[in-house]
Amino acid sequence: MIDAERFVRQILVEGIGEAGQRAIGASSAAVAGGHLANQVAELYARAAGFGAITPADGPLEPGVPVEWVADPSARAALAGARAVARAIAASALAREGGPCL
Amino acid sequence: MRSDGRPWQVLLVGAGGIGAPAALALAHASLSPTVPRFEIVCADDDVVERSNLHRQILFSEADVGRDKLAALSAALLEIAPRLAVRGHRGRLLPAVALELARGADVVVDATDNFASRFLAADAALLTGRPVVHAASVRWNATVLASSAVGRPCYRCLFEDIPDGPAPDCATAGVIGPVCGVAGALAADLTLKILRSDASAFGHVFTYDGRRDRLRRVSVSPRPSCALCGDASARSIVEVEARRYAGPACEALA
Ligand SMILES: [Zn+2]
Repeated sequence: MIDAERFVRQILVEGIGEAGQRAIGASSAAVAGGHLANQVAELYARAAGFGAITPADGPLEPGVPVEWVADPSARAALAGARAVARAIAASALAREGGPCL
Repeated sequence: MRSDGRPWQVLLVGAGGIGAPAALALAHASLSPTVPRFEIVCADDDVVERSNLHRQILFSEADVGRDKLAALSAALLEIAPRLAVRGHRGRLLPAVALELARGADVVVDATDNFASRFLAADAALLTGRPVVHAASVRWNATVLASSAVGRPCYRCLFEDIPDGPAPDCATAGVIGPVCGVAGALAADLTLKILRSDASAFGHVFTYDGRRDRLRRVSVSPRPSCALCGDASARSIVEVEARRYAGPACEALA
């Protein structure tokens, strides 16, 4: 059973739907860790409804040059958010067939 | 710190999907001694709903039904006990927009609808305040900052509120961490502005969460911009309420 009330705004997104939400619930996100980026990722992964959250290999990276995003806290928040966006795309969009990453 | 010794005032408009990660990053940044001292004034009139929780990461089930301003300040004080966070209980409305902007050193537009976004752009430019706009819908985020004189500004890029219903705004939905990307970028631009770093301006960030693709594209000033363009083109010289009539849209935040 998915919690439709809680995830309604995510289920509405094209490519997710109830099946995508179920796929997220059946997936685990490897994002946890002591770094701020990992903490932010853990918040987003819990909020998105991942079935399990496991440790990441290390600190998550923001994937942008410092000329674009300079502040370490902003870079960490960016890194954490991007990691979970990737995890959502990988679990929910994988159902559509094509590679998405 | 400003020349008068007071901390900078950051007006955060919206304590929602983008306001939460922006405030989280700002609160963590405020712990660094190299970051200019600032306070946050947050404007919002909402209460936390369960359907917010997938993207508004500073709130939990225990906050459902609670005032967002109270829940946000409590969460921020846990991160940064010495950060001053004040609330303005209300939306950004034409009647108060100029006054709110005037009291701030930088405006962060984390609102959830086009009407508020254009109002934030106009109020900031008309009071000579830099503004950071951050928006997200579905898999996409868009973030840009405008200097106190624009050139370019939000209207250089988007001109005016789209006619008719905003693109599927009641039903579009949004991916939580895509809001997070928008909020993180907005926090960084805000901190750049506090440091007088002009590299904050003149670009728009776009993020596509489906492909995890983040781009930064240059934006040129538009001489025909009604807000910051040539004198002959400037038709927006005050905040007129009729200009911001439009449906509210939760889904955009
Ligand atoms: Zn302009």
